[in-house]
Amino acid sequence: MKKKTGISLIAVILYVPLFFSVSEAQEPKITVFNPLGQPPAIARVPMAPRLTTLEGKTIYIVDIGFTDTHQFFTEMQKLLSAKYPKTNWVVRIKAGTYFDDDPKLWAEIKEKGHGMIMGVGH
Amino acid sequence: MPNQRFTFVPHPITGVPAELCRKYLQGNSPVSGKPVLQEIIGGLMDPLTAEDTKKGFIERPTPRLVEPDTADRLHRLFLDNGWTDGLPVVLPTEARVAEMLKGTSRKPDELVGRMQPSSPHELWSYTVEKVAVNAVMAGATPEQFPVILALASTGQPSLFTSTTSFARMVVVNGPVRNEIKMNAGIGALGPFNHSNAVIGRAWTLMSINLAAGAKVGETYMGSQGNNFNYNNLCMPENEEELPPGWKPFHVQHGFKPNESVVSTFNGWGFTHPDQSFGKPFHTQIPFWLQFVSPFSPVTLLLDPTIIKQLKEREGFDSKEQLIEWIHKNTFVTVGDWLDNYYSVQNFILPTGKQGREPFASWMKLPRDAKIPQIVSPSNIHILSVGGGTNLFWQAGDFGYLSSASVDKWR
Repeated sequence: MKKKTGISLIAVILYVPLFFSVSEAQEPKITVFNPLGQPPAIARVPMAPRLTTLEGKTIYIVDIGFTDTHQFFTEMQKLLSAKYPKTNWVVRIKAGTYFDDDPKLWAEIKEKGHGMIMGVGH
Repeated sequence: MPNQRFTFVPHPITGVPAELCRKYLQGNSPVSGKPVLQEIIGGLMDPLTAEDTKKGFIERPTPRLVEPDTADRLHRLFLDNGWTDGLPVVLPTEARVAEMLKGTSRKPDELVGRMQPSSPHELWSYTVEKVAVNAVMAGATPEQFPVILALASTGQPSLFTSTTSFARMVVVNGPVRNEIKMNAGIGALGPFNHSNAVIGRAWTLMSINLAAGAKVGETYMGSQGNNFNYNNLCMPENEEELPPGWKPFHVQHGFKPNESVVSTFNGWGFTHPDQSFGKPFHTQIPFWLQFVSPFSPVTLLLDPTIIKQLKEREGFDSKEQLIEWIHKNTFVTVGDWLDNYYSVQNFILPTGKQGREPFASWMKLPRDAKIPQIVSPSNIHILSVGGGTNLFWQAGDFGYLSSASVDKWR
């Protein structure tokens, strides 16, 4: 009796996937719309040339002004100044809230700076 | 700039002592595992690759149709691709979308608007047909379609990504409320009405699919999320129960009473502060609003029974009169304003420092001076909703965003 049960089980196990694959194949295929909108084309902006040396350069560290984060940027300045003493590391807080533009600061960095590190987040 | 150079430190850094900031900076990035300072210097000095200097455009066309498949597999595909709100959708077949398009006189290829998950993100565009596809998915009918098109035309996403997990609200005014049998009465904010349900849901599906939204960790960063986003508190205002002098919301904002309009709001939540029936309602409102940040607007959802009492027993002849009273009688001290609200510190004080009024003047006042908790009367909104089964109300930190005519999309 035990042997017969085993054979029956094998038969069922073999039959079940066969049954479902036939059933699924018989289900009609339908065409539906893609629900996604249209993303804009990405305009590639070439990155600014990198520095070959930090000696004698001015690098701005820009704090975007999120509340109670300024100490992070002053610590960054201290660490970088200790490691690269021949580089001028300048910490500045961007004007306004972190949503606001600060064209004056960007103009100053373009004129006086050689690089910029910006902190984003909180 | 696909290769923009980043490094990361553990989050958060707000309020973290200098010693710990130093430790973070001397440690490794939790993302790359490399030393943070090394990645900062690498960002400044590592040579550019050919990829970094490329110009031109990368086009990303969206296919109009999905590859034909069985219904079960398509449901699985929509779920796996993140094209749903996690609940089953109606598959947007060609026949169903064609039927939906009968709900408007607009052409299928007409541009409806542009939407983005938040202001720094890219704007995706969408046509009438794309809005119809998402309306079908939400379970809407052609009669409801002009309301959904109007909502889409605002360009406002329901899933505006902020780490603070915003909610949004959509309110319908005008004759269309009754044409599509919306419920402004008993249970208006509950799951009891087809139009209330599917219009609110369609907004979130559009936000997901038409605005590149809701990719958790990419275009959706709300730390806790907001359950209101499933339906966005979609409701019609109970205009019929407004007493004379109390204008419907759309009329307050320049529309004619017989125009049909959708209006959108932004906030975080609603609550029901306790009250004493033995006191006049309006005198308790300043006490109730203490939980609202002085940075936030306020929206009051008032049951018609309360509005009737405010009008007949407490003498408020219009929404505007009550709004003015609330503004003049709800205060916060300058000391509390300066010390106790992150949103004030982060979003208001920097503009005050730049001279923006009234904040610049408020910053100079003594700490015990009282200033309006709600900055302006225009930041206070009142909506009539409910079926009159209780003297009930809710208050939330919701502010008005925009309105759009439904009639233009019929």
